[in-house]
Amino acid sequence: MITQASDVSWLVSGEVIALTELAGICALSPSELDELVEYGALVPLEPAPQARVFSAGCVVPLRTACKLRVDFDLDLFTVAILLGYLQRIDALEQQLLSVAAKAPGYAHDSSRPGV
Amino acid sequence: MKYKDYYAALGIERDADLDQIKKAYRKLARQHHPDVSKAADAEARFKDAAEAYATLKNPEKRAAYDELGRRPAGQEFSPPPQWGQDFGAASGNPFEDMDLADLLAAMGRGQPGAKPGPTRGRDLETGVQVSLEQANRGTTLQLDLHGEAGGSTLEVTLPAGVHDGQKIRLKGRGGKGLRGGPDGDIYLHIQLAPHPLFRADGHDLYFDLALTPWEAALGAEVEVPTLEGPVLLTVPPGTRAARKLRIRARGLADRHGGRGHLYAIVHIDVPPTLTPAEKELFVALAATSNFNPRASVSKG
Repeated sequence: MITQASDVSWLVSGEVIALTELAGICALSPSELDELVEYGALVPLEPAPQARVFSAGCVVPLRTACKLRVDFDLDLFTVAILLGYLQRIDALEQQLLSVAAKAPGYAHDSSRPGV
Repeated sequence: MKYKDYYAALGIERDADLDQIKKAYRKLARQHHPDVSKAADAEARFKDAAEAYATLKNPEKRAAYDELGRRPAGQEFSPPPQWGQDFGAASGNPFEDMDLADLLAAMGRGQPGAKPGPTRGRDLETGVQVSLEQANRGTTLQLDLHGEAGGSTLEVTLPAGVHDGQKIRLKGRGGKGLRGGPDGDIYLHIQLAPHPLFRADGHDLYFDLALTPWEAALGAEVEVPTLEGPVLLTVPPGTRAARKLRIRARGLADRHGGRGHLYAIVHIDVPPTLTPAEKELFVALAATSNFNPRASVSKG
């Protein structure tokens, strides 16, 4: 089986995903997604309820939160809280990678030579 | 069909109430969840507990399960004939290719007379490691997939522009949907392999540039590496340690046709041992120079 570059969806903040598609891939109903918006856990790019779209950057943390919801039998409000923490962890991990890249190499590995 | 003892799986009595069921499950889930436990059998134990809980927390499913009576775990059994009629089977075995969990899931949907409805295919998640060079120019990966129907290989064309930590979705390339449900997706978590020289931050690259004290003080033109081969970099006079020198658009390609930058992080090295001539020059410099890099510290 072969995929093409066009099959690839970039799950980054510049890309957009519609409410129905996001609900489908996160095993949520559209009304549950609306509830997460009401809690402030998700912020739609287009706020009008009939045309809600979201940043594709929220797909991975939302799927993780929804998987934990099933695994631990959590309610939707807990998912809203969890989502905030997962996004924060993701941002901190990115920040850590960024700091590590900018730190001199000898801070990572004293045997690593410079150029 | 094999019998499973769901009460034993959760470690509870058969007359346990919903609160006891929930507590027992949460305790086991906390203990065996694959994100928490590193034990080899954690995933299997978590799945067993989750399957038991999915049935016992639902009064309808639990009643159907209890109707099967008490049996030794693993014993082969046939569901009551009445259940076959509930599944709309005029003849034959309506339970073929079903296990106990599938059967009870269908019961719990309250659909006597109807087989289970469309089910979305399973999503697959996998981490893939690519080199900086592959991320920069794009690459083709062979993914080995292991589904219920056996193993298969998926060839994925990864366009240029991925970075460390990037998540990518391959729509409809996961497990096959059941009974007309949509196919699942594949989620790729991209990790950049460590490079002997460069470190990546998004599409920018960083490397350490060692300079001699005189190159840093006087300025120099030095040859530095890039992903496409060496280039000349002008080091301005008076360059201090930890300064970042930017080499424009020599980082990783992004997906819009642009490129990140390449940064040289300066560190100043000294000869491990000095020849007599070098030592003489350094001594002369020390005697002549009134530069004090610790001036701000010694004021206090």
